[in-house]
Order: sequence, then C-alpha cells, then structure tokens
Amino acid sequence: MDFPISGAHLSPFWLIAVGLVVGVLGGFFGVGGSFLAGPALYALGLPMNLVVGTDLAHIMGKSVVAARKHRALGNVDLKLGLLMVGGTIAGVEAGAQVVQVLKRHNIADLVLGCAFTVILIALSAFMTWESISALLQRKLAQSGQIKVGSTVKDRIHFTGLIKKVRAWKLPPYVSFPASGISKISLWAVIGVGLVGGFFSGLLGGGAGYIRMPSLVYVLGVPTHVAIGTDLFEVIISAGYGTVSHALKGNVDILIALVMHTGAAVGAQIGAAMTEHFHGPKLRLAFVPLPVLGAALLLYELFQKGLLKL
Amino acid sequence: MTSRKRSNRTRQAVSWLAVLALEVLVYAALVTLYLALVLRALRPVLLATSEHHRAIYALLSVGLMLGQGFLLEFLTTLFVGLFVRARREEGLASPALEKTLKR
Repeated sequence: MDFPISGAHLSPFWLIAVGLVVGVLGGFFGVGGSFLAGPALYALGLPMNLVVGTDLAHIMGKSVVAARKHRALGNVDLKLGLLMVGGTIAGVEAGAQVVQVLKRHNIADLVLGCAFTVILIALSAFMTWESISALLQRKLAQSGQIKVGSTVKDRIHFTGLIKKVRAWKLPPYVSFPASGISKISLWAVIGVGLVGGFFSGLLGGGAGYIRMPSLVYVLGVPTHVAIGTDLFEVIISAGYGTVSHALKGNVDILIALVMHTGAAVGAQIGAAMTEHFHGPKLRLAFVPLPVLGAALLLYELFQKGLLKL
Repeated sequence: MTSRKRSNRTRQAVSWLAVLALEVLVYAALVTLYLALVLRALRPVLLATSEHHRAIYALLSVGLMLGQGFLLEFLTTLFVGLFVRARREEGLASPALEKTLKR
C-alpha cells in the first residue's frame, strides 16, 4: 500500500500486526510501546524522523482506548494525572530542545541510541531485583515467617525512596485518595511528570517505561493505578509530540491510522488481562520488554556502523 | 481445587476467549472496510493539507487518531454487548461475560 505523505510503500498487514502486538503490551503494562514500535517501523523501511512522529501519533490513539478501559476498571487517578500534566509538557519541550542541540552537533543517533540502551537495561535489572525480592517477601509473609502490617497483594520491596519523598517538607501538599496517598509535596508529583516528559521528548514515544516505575517506586502508587495513570499521561505527552512533529512534517497520519486499527484491539485485550494479574508478578512480566527494545537498538547501532566491536 | 471450581474456571476462560475471538473478527471486518473506503477517501485531503497547511494537518492528525480510537472502542463494545445479551437469553452467559458487558 502506498503512503503518499511519507512516500513510503508498506504492507498494511505488517503495520496492523505491529500495532496489535504493541497494543497488547501497552494495554497490559501501561506503556506506549515505542521501544518496540519505533524499531519495527524503522525495520519496515520508514525514515527515522517519520518513525518518531508517526509512532507518537499511533501511541496517542492507542493510549486513548487503553486509558478508557483502565478508567472503567478504576485504574486511573485523574487528579494525579492532571497535576502531572504541567511537568510532563515542560519535560517534553526540554527533551526536544536537547535533541535539537545533539542534531546540530551530528551526534544525535549515537548519543540517544546509547542513552536509551543503558536506560532500558538498567530499568530491567532494577525491576527484576525488586520484583523477585517482593515475591519472596510475600511468600514469607503468607507462610507466617515474617509479620506484615498491611495487605501483601501489591507489596513492593523498594520503599525507602517512597518514604523519603513523602517526608519532603516542600509545600504545597496534595493528597491522592485513589492511590492511597494521604500527603505528598506537589513538587514531587510535578518532578515525576517532568522526568517522564523529558524522556518522551528526548527519545520519542510516551516514556511509560520510565514514568510507570517512577509512579510505583518514587510516589508509591499501586501498580495497577500507576499503569492506568501512566496511560493518561502518555496521551498528553504523545498528543503534544504529535502536534509538534506534524508541524515539522514528521508525521504520516495514514500509517499511524492503519497501525492503530491493530493496536486498538490489542489494547483492549491487554487491559482485560490486568484484571487477572497484579503486583510483583505483573512487574516481573514487564522485565523482558525493555531488554528487547535495548537489543533492537543495539542491533541498529551496529548495523549503521555507529558502534563497532 | 475442586473439580467443580476448575470446570467453572474453564467455562469462564472459554467464554472470555469467545468474546475475544468475536472482538478480533469484528475488528478484522472493520479494518478491511476502513482501509478500502475511509483511508482511500481521506488520502488526497491529508496529502494536500500536509503539504500546504501544516497547522491544519497537525490538528487533523490528532482529531483523526482520537476519533478512530473512540469509534473503534464504541463499535466493539456494542458488538460484544449484543453477543452477551444473546448468550444471556439462551441462559449461557457466565460471570466473565457479564463482567465484560458491564465494563
């Protein structure tokens, strides 16, 4: 099928298949799936600037469906999502400006590729360690070997940072009853939005791979609420990114629409699956995704000759 | 786990899979129709705006993605609802199917 806006000739069935896979992953894990969709579009033959813009548009459409599903399941903390918006948009713009600087120095591909790879591998390693620790702790608690003061269903092992962040004496303070947070500095919430937005602007996509873990491990939001709220935030960052890239001629909306037809059904399947899986097991299942993204990126960097053995 | 509980779970899983299969079929039909009619009709308009009116193209892009997202979700929910109602009338609706309908 011809896509005249980008001048590309791509198979719609491959686009739908890529969309379907990314949709299931996105609906299930609450991430946009850019770390898989981007390399897949690139492998199908789309130039990199169009990959970034088109993927952002596709992610926005997919996240709308998934976020609605999660909202129906009570997994979206709307107040938290709305308060993060300011930080998210500022972060997206800051990230995009850094990309422009890197482009001017002709080191964008190398620096961004390496940074993305390192982040994805570090994220996977941390989540593996944390999820296994939490599962072991839950097992011990359920067998009565250790005492626990609260529910063990969504227990997380790494709570030190959450306690420190919640103890910040930096007004104004806000509460998020839907996430079980009675008092936290607004700046911590905006900070999480800022970091997520920055990575979205810097590396493309919705940056759910960094925002979702941040919500869980920094703010202490329950995993299933973090997934739904992250999807809400992805709509904002990807929406802003879509407009920005469309103005620069980096979006082929016809490709995004075809991909989204597969992603829409995938997102519904993924969101329905979260009803059956919660907590540490869900986080552990997330681990191979960033590793896969990192492997694809490394492969591309070697293929382009930017990295050599 | 008792055998009754296990068979209940199996029945629920089968119902869930049936709904899923239906969703995929409905989507497949819609996608074919969509590719054949809507995208073909939209192509010249989008090409012209992307070349000469970037601001309009940017807004159209966001609007189309959001519109398609809501439309496809609405249609599949509608079809799944019809499917569950038919099963309920036959006395075959399981709790999993009822839950899908409520959602």
